[in-house]
Amino acid sequence: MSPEVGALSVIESFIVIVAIVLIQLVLYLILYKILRREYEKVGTLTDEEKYKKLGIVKKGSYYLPEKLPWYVNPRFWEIFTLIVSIILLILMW
Amino acid sequence: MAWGLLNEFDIITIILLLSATWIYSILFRKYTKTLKEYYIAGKIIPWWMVGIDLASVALDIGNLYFTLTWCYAWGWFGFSQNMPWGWVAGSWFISGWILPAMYRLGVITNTTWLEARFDSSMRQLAAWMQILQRSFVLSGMLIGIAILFEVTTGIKFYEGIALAGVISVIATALGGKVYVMASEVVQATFSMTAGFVLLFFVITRLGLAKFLEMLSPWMHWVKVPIEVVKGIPNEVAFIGMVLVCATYGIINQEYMSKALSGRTEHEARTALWFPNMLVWSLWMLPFAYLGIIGRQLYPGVKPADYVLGYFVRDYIPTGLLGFIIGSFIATSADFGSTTQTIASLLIIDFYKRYIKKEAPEDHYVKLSKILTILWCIIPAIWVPFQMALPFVAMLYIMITGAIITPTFVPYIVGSVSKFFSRKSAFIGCITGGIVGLAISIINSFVTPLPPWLSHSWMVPIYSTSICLVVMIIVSLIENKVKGPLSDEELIGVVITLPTKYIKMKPVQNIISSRIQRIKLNHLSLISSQFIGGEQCVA
Repeated sequence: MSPEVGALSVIESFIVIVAIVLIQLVLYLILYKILRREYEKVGTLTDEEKYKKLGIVKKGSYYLPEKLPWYVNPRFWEIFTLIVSIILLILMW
Repeated sequence: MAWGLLNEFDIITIILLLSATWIYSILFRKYTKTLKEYYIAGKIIPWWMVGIDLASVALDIGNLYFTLTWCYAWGWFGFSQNMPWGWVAGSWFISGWILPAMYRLGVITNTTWLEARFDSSMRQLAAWMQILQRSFVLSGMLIGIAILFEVTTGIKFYEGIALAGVISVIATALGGKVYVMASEVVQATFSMTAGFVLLFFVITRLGLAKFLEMLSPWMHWVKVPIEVVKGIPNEVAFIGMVLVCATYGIINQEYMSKALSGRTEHEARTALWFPNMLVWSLWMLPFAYLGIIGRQLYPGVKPADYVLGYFVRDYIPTGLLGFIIGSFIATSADFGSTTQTIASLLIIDFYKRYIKKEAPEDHYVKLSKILTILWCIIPAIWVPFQMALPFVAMLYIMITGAIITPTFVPYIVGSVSKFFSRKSAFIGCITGGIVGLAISIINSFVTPLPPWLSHSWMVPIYSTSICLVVMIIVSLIENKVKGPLSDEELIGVVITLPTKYIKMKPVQNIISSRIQRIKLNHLSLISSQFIGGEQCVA
């Protein structure tokens, strides 16, 4: 360690630890609840039963919900990512 | 109390970050009763969580070093290893053809699909190639954690390796894939934050103007002020590297198993793009910058992986070291996920396929958990080889480029076309692999070959091209002799086939017999929804 790097004070170090504990606790708890709910909802169903329950049907080659929001539309993200990639490639060639 | 550079607060922070994962995994024990639950989380994971977890596959601690060391060597050119072209190109195939086919077929390992599409020899070849490749990845992770321990705590390198090995495998074995998916979201958050905190301290101490001055000449994908591969234009090297990277997600069971954990097919496909790509790019951005300026601040470091440890040591104040180190090490949760991947290939593709075919489900799950833990020891054999190279990931690139890359060809061509015959994949991959290996061996042990032929980014161009050509030739012959594969045989395996003219009864019989033969007894989705008739579950 370079000598000038120094150290956090006791209070600052304590705040870091408390923040880590709280953030971990909250994140872990939220994720656990989400997954438990998902498991209870569809965890024991076959894919076919799950699709029926979630209202997913075949449209063209793919299985999609009757009403598909843009943020879970794979085709939207495929095209979006491709465009962004090409722009980045050109800009920073 | 102090431990190397760490004070008592740092030590507490590391213990808190690591112990939380172990405690957390216990909560998920009830979700590991079947192979489907243990390996693909029972297919219950929402899209956003799958996306973050897919980024976690690519950005375990080994990959953080990967990004940093590539940028250390070649500037921004090194950043293009991950984003966007190779990955985007590969993800198009996964999203459009490969993942839907695997999802509908109900497979747990991507190699199982290869048997349904080609034959059992191709499945075995791909499975064992992956086991080899994932072992290098695990070895890289062990080294990454050991380097951080060594630089900051004074723990000797090989003791650090031993410590690293047990950090996450036990938690993974306890909690299975559902635990992995949840914990990696938390660890990705911490690791990303830690990366930006480290970058913040570096910029603060260097000054923004100096930081940008060091960075700017190197911020090009191709026009970096260095010949990346001596003797060939950067543009050509770039194409070779894109090809290597394009294969990553396709042949990687760990990546595919997380995608297959998605709640529905379209959610799994969405997750491949968003938030996967965004999280991925943001996560590795600080490490790319650190690699570029690390070349100038710490010249000539070998292996260059130590540079990350030096940055942590020289720029982070005591009291915050624990957070930085703990967060980076916590991403080693992916270590457990990788050993779990190897366990899935050994249990499902080999043990269940050939050794013990009809055992109860809990027998396979128990064995899977034991293998998940035990496999953390095996990769240590690669450590000395990797440490002798300019950067740790080099062995991975060399072996992947020479013999593993061809195995991605059957996934792509087999998923989009029914022309390719059953034997073509194995023969093509073996031929491509032999050519790649021969070039590498001659170059290393007989006589140096020109870089355009022998460099690890150039070899995949030849090995995959030869694989494809051989596949075409073998398919032409086999199709001529045996007749082409019928639409009926490939229903549910190649998703683009027309189905409306197919008579249902023969189709069901063919699918049933094939499924029986390859023991896909967990299939549930070859059903009326797909083939327009009655449900057909083996």
